[in-house]
Amino acid sequence: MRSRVSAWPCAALGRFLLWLALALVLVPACWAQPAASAPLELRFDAAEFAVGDTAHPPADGWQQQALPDEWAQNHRDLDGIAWYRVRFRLQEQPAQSLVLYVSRVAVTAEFRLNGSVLNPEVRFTPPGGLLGSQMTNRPQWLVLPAGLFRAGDNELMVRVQGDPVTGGSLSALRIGPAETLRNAWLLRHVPQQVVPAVLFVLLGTTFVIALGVWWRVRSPIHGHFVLAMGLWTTLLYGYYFPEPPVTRAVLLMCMAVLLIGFRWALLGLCWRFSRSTWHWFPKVLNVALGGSLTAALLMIAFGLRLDLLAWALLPGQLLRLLTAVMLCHWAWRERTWQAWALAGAEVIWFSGTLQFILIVMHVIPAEPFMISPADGLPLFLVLVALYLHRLTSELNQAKLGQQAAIHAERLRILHDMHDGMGAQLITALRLARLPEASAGAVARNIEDALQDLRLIIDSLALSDEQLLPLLGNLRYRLQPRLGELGIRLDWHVQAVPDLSGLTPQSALGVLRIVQEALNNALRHARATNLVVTIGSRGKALAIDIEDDGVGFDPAAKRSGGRGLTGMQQRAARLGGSVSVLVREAGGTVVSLTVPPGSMAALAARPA
Amino acid sequence: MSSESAPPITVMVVEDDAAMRQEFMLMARQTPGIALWGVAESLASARALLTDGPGRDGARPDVAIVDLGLPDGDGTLLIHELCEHGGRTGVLVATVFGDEAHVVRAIESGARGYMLKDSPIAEFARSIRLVSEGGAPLSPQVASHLLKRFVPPPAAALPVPVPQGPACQPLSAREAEILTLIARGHTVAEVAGKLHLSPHTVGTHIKHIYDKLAVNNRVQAVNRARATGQIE
Repeated sequence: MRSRVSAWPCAALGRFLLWLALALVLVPACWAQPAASAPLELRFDAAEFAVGDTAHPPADGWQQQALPDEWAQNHRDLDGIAWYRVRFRLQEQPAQSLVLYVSRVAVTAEFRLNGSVLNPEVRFTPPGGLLGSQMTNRPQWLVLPAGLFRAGDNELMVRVQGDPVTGGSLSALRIGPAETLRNAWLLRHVPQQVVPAVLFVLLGTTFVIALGVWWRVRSPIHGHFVLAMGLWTTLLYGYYFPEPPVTRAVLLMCMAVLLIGFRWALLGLCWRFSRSTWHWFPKVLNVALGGSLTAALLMIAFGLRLDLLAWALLPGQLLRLLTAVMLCHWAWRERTWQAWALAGAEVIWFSGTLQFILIVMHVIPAEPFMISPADGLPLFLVLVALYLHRLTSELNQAKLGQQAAIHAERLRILHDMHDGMGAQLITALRLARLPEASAGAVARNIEDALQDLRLIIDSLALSDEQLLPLLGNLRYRLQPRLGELGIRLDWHVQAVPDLSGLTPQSALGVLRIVQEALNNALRHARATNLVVTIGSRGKALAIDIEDDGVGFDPAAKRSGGRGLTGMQQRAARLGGSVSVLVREAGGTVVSLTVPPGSMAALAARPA
Repeated sequence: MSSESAPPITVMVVEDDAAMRQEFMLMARQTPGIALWGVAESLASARALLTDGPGRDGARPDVAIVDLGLPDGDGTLLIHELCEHGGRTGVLVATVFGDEAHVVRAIESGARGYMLKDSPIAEFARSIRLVSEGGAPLSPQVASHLLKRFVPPPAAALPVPVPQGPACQPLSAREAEILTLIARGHTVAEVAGKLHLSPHTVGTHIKHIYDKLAVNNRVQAVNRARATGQIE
């Protein structure tokens, strides 16, 4: 049952992809049949064609040309302006206005019916000047007022400017009532104008949100996602400029560089979001697209022929195909919805380009629609879904990590309490239960426990890795008792080495050693003068506690990690050492040395 | 230090733990020069003392020892009430640990320091005398906290600049020097020696720091209230 449930989305998705593939093949084939012609519908699948870089149609040189006409296929060396002309007879003027629908024209075209210019706003690109109107992805819909037609001979003239790199193109020309042509127009207008507009808005929004996330998270995969979304948004923005205020050369350079960068980022992102076993893939991607980007930049820098830039785009196309294969292979192995969705979306994305290439090569008809650039929408949606999926799992991970840290800190505090005050309280309890219990001894052990608890609490308040306020607090609490006992304490603070990475745990270790040394001087050494010096020995932290008492009893070993052995064990755990010097003239010096870095390293070690 | 003829220092004790209350009362009674002004075990009974008890004529104790965790509310409320309008009562917070979280909260409400609940009687008397004379015991940890409060970290380290109202009084160089030394564990006497000042002058500086903190706290409270729309 369980496996059925998890297999369902895959099966459904598989069926969906199958239908989609069928639709891609069958629908254009069905549409290619000429529609039943309405009374006033004209369709021209051929025109007279002549080359002429003039503002007016050439007088001669006309020859017959089938439509659609792709320059890349039929007029390879044509680089400039060409004219198309169709002539037709009408018995009478049409009763209503009609529409001229042209599904595809590249790059700029002016339409004239009986000498009247139908789209006077169109601007052609002057040699070396700023780009004129870019009409490649805009199906043309021009209203023809009934008065423009003549009873008898009519002439429809199209002046087309091609592009030296991508060539020119003109599809079949259709004239008819708006209601008859609307569906055909929508079928091109929606994927080429509406869907990219929606995609642009979605991309821009995603880019801004992802940028915000990246600003906080700063992980490479988030940066990669932001880069891909940003480049994609920029590309689509360029797509919407009907008249970009640049020269053709600049536009070509920008588009080539942007396109290579975008493909590099997006295909890399596909790889990152997949768990494909083809580990060589990123290397191939980086070499191929890094190489083509370098090649493109070199061509631009050395001013080579710009039409060669198209060759720099070729590796990107091949890598898209390779990515589709890689993702399909991965999906076949993993059979998860993520894998199928990503592979399917990448195949759809590539199919748009494939369709375009096949159209230009006259293998398939250009009607009724072209899926590029709407073909990117599924890939975008899948990438966003995978991104969100990843983001939520990262947040869950972070939460788990936080819980683990809290748990570790609790364990540490528990350990600290067990280590010091717990043992002291048990000693106090044992002492109190003895028949000959001495109130003083019990009180002293409880006092020790309380002191230790205060050290634990102080160490938790460690801020900015500052040990001095904690040591100072220890003294501040001790001072009244010293005053009571008539003991003088000299407190010297010298330059303290850098204690970066100091943790509460290591601060507590230092505090406990100092506390124990002072307790010893107060209780056992019968000292009257104490000197505490906080400073450095070389790069190490050094704390010396000096008294003028009767000395230290090295053999004394008491509970709760106290006594000399206890101090030495604590110092060893800090990565430092404690030495005790008993002076012949009287007095003891307890010296604690902790080398730099060892207090930070302690934090990394498991408790 | 107090002469026999001077009037005794009056002390109010607000503590909910019966044994601890007894201990404070005993210490107050045993210390010459200190007189018990009133004893309360809750916020309500403390307020009753101030309005209907010995304080009904506006009289106030010289020193109040206040526990923060009272059964009917937070002791900082009482500290606020005692210290506002330039109240002359010096407040000490009674605490088990003297930990930063408790003490800083109390000091920001107007307290003049803390007293550990296990303080011996001599320390108890010393703290009360110090506060009644207008001084303020200042622990290194609190000093280091105050330094951070008054001296914000370098602007570069902050994502947004700290809003510094014109009424916010910064520390003087001398005051910052004193706080720095105390944060390193030096006593008032040692600070005085190092800075070639009299201990009394250092004490006065510390008192000024506390006053500035109180003023700044009031400014912040007003700013907060203004930001939340409580006052125009």
